[in-house]
Amino acid sequence: MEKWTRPAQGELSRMELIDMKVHNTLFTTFYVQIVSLMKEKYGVEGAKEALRQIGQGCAVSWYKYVQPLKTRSIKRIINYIIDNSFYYAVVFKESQEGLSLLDKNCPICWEGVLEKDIPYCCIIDGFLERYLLINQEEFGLIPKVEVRAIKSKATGDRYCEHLITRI
Amino acid sequence: MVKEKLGFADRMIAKIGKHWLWWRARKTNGLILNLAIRETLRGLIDIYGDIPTALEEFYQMGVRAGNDLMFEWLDTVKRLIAKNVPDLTVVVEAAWYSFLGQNISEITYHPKPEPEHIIWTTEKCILCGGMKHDESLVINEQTMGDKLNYGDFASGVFQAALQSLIDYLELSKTVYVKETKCILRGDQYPEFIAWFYPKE
Repeated sequence: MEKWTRPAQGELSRMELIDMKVHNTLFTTFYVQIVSLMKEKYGVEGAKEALRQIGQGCAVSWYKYVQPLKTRSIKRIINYIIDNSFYYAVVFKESQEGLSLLDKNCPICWEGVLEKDIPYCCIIDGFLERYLLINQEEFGLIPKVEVRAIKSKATGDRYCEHLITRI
Repeated sequence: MVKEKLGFADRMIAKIGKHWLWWRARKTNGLILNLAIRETLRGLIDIYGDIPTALEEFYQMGVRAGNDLMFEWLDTVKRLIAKNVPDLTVVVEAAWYSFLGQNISEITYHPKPEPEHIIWTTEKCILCGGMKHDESLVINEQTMGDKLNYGDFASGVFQAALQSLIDYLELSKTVYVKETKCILRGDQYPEFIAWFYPKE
């Protein structure tokens, strides 16, 4: 049996963290370093996958602590996630390829960062893809999808675009 | 021209300014940051093979991030700096609040024992929240090793940021920052110390 220990006075639970906000810059300044290290260690393709994995790992825990939406609308689920994690909303465009998430306020692609090799905000792909997959497994109301960044402000585009396709 | 010492008005500006900076800041959820830190560390463990080495690299990343941050932030804080090391407590307090929306519980300047140093503690730790019960990545006294703590990447940020300020002020000092108390090591609160060593 696990031994009970008194929580430290300065200790926060993850439930408490949900109600807290921090400056966005805290992560974005680190993210530059993470992207650079991953590219150095894994190359361009490997770095993309490693960054997506960071996003996926966040999604698994996030899903446990933020009440998931039971709906057939992927758009609603994504805006629910973005609203709860970054406090803004995104717009969507439907096309033959699938559903595109268009993001002019990407929380990762901050002004001044320039990344030519990889879609800089692919960490968001991993986060959304895994979250949607867990939601699909729990409720079965949405299809299984893949999320890929096809435009990124950091690579010089006017907005970030994440393409959501059925698999 | 840089002041020798901060006056009452400067301190008031810092007190009000930090709220303004926080208010206009673009925000991210605290849990997202907490999880992103955990996952980044996990990625570093995959690369370096063990937690102590991953923490060391994370700390170095913090130093580089701190340099970038100060490059952006120096213009904002110029008004709040003086060639008086005890006054850096004002900058640390304002920075902490501007980035985390939380007040530092206590911050004190100590001229002795040398080198002069600043100690600060915070009421709550966003970084290690939930980590004590996280079975997916076990971080404790045994796994961290005896060199660095879970929050020491923040020490790296502060170290680089304070060093930039010290260099801007043309004070001949080298800054070293360390998280000296960590909840994941069994302490009640996190505590950071910034030492200001005279340059040889």
